[in-house]
Amino acid sequence: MPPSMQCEKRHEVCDVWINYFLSICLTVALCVTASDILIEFLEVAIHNVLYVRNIYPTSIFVRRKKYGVPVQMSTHPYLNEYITECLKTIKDLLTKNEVRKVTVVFFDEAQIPVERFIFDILDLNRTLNQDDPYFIKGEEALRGFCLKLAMTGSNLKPLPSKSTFRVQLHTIEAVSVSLAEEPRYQDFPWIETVEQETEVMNPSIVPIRTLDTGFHKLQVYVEESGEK
Amino acid sequence: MAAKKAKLQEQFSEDVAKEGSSQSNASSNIFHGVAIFVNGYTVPSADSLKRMMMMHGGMYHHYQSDKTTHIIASNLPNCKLKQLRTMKVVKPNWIVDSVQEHRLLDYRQYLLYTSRAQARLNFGQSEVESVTVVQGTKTVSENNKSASIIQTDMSTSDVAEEKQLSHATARNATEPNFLSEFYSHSRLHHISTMGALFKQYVTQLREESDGRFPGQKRLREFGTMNNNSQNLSSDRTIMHIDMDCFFVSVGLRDRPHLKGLPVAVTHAKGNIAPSHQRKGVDLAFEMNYYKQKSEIETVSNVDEIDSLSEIASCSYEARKCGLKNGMFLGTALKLCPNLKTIPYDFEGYKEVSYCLYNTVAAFTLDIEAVSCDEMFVDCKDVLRNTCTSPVQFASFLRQEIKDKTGCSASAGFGSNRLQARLATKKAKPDGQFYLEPSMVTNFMLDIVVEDLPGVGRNLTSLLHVMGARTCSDLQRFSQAHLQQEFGVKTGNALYMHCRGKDDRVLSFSHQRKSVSAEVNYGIRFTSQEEATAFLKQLAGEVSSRLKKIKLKGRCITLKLMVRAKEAPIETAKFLGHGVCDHVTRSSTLTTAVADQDTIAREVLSIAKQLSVKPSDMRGVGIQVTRLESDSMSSKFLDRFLLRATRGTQQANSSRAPKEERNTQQTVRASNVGSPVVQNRVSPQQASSNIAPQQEVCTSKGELTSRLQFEISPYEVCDLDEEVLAALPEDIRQEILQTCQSSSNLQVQKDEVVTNMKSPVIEQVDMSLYNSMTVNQVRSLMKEWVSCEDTPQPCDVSMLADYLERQVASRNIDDIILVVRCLYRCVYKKKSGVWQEAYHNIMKKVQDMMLVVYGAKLKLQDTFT
Repeated sequence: MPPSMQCEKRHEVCDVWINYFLSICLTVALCVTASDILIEFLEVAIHNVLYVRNIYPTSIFVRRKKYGVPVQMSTHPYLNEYITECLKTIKDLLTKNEVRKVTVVFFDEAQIPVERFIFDILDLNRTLNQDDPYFIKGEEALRGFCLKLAMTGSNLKPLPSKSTFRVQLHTIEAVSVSLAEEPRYQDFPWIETVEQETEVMNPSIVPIRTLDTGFHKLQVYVEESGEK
Repeated sequence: MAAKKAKLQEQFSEDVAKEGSSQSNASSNIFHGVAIFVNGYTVPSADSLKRMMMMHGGMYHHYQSDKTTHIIASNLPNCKLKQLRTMKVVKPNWIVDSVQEHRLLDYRQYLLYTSRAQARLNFGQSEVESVTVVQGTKTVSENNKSASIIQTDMSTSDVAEEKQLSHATARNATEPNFLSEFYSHSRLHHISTMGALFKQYVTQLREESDGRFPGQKRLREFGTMNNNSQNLSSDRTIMHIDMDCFFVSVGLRDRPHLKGLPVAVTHAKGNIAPSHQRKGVDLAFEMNYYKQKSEIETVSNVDEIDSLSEIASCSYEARKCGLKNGMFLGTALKLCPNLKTIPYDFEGYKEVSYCLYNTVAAFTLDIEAVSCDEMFVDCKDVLRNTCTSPVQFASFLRQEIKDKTGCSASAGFGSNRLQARLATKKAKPDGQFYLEPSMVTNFMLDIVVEDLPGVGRNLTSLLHVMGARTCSDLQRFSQAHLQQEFGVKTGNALYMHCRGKDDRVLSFSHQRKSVSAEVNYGIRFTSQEEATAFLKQLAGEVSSRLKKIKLKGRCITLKLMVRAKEAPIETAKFLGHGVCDHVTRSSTLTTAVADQDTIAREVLSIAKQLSVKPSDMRGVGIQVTRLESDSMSSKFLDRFLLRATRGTQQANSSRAPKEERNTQQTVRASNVGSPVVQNRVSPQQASSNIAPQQEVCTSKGELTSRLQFEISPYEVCDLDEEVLAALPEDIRQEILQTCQSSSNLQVQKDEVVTNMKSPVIEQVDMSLYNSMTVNQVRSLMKEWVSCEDTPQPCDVSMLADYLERQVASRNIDDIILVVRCLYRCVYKKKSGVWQEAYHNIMKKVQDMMLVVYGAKLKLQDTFT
């Protein structure tokens, strides 16, 4: 693993349920950038990963339609807040092209990472691809991913009970300093991780999909611990 | 045994005659009527005593018999004395003194012992001997053997010497010229090579034929002379000719005095002398094994002293006594004590066989050679051209064969191979039989199942269990039932054959499938060096055979016979292989080879893998298959190459932007200067890392592929790939060349363009699969696994390279599809070799995954 800096924010699962709908407005701005599309995609992906891995009761998810396929979306306010806060930061970093990987890491009871979904950003374009002005191809790739993700569960061993998850970013050294200084992130601080909290023991890879939307090239795969 | 004694006596009298003529002055007749047998060590040696007897009119027996008058011995152990009580045991001085005195002296003066003096005379000696006797009896009681083995202890130096003499030609494989000697003596070698030889001969005759058959004219004359106007030629008549007990009848050409007697052809002369028992032989074990294996009566009542030499052929007189081909001589002698044995006469067999084939070839060349004395002939043309009936043709032909070769042949006619063969069986000996189509149904009813082709011991016993002993029994079973019981092919064959139907056609020209050399006699290595040297020698033999028929082979197989764990070290048959486990391993090369060094190297590396103890080897064989003539190159690889070429064209357009993007990525990486990116292996880097490896491991085939690709990347797409791939190499080349010349200009232009794009392209061209889609790769792989019995190393390494490259370019989605597909194919194949190949490929892929991703792919890796 390259020596890199990883920031993370821990999210604690609440025991109290509040039925509260938070609709995420995905306003389609006139000028859509690659990072917007990617953030939107990441949001859908994270929600669905959580659903697929059965880490929360299925009752907190509702079915929505995205990219022309049914997807699952959490309705839990704290969870959703956590995800949106994460994505906000990621978006800021993406515009500066400072994100390498976004990972969703699952920990078992002893806080040992057992599984992680890796969104490896291979390539990011700033400009809209002229070949695909209506983003049809791109949407198709995203749709393909959503369908593939739904199937991935069958290739993985179930998570141990009482698992938790964290979102981790693989970024560059300078980012940690800027994140700490930035007043915007004071309510949602990122901290550097140590290797024990990121690296899955004895990993084996289950590929999910490599997306090429024209805007970005993204490889998504799962690393599963051999000792789960 | 009797035969051997008789033979030795013959030799002796022959020698006497010789000696008599050369040294007539010294000879006398003083020992007339005296026959001696020398037992043990004597002071004038047995040999000089023999000479003395020879010169002075006596007889010398190699074995004691009832005609032996005196036993000559210097000292004898106690137990032997007990046995020899009634015989006159005389000291050798008797003969020496008699010769000196020129008269026969009274033997009583020279008796070795008298009933009282014996103990005293040999006291010191006999005590020593008795110790060994006790040891001997101990082992005897352990082995539950009769007292006859006590004689083992007689093997003093003299007997050992004699043993050496009698086995002077039976060497073992460690000796340098063993191989050539083996091949000049092995019966199986001769018979089998002769079969192949005559198949080749027929092919050759057909090639050289001018379409005229001198025999047909003679036959026509014969036909008109006998003037039988019946014209029976049905649309198809197959004749089967088989010589009657070929080896015997050839042997009897020079031995007319043996005609009418029971005769057998075998190597051995008779039973082994009891004194020649070798230590460590556990006959009971081997007999038990043979019995289990074959449950046949041939091995019943075999004693320790019986010869284990097999009978190759026996005359009809001998068969009346119950003898069969393949019986052990010892058993045969029990059934037929006055059996005469004659040695092999390989030159004679060859001569007669050639004569037989030439005779038949004078009538027609529609001959399928089966072996040196057996063939199928399609007589449709002959009968039509000469207007004769099959019976006339047969009697004419058989008479001609008899006149020319002096041996009788039997002929059978039928409308197919099966009927012809069964008819011959009925015709034997020295007869002919025409199985007319109308008779077939009735004829088949009484045929026993063993006589059907392809029905061996195993199948026979299975059929007997089912209650089918004759074809009429067998006809009661439905086709589906037989297929269910014995598999589709065998079941169908049985169903057809028991009704007298047989759709196998005669094949007149013969194509060699394999070339091999195998030795399983006299293999007794003491060290690894000996084994290695012998393997090299054997490789040389195979190589010379390959060169003789101008072929090369790609698949080299090593067959080893290894002493079974529980089998005794020493085999019952002298230097035979005994009970063995068979180990076979093969390796496939990228190019066809025929030279000794390559074959030897390959075989030695296989042998090393098998790691068999040299002392446990009992048989070694090298076989070369996948033969091709020098000009041909591998077919399968070509198909790979062509597909790849096609794929490249399709993807050519999409490749360029991809590369641009790749370069962009590297540019970005260097801009940012992040350690993460720099450590990440970019596709180009990875592929350039692999490129040199590829060049090393892929060979000639790939070079030609590159060449082919360069000359014809575009025009091939106009041709039907499947058709092109199925064409023979030379025609395909021709087509490709024509295409090339027609669109030469265009190609040149394209080449320029590609060169301008990026230098990377050159690397890309080198590798197969490169621009194929996953589905193409998968279908190609399915085809590969389903049509090859064993994966070829070149294909395996090619696939591994492809997958490694895919890993390097982070294409894990595709890899998982390809790998899972391969897993499923290999799983279905249920073949150990394929599974091994799968594991090899996966190991490479996982190693590459560790480099690129730091983690392995999650895969199924067991085949349970």
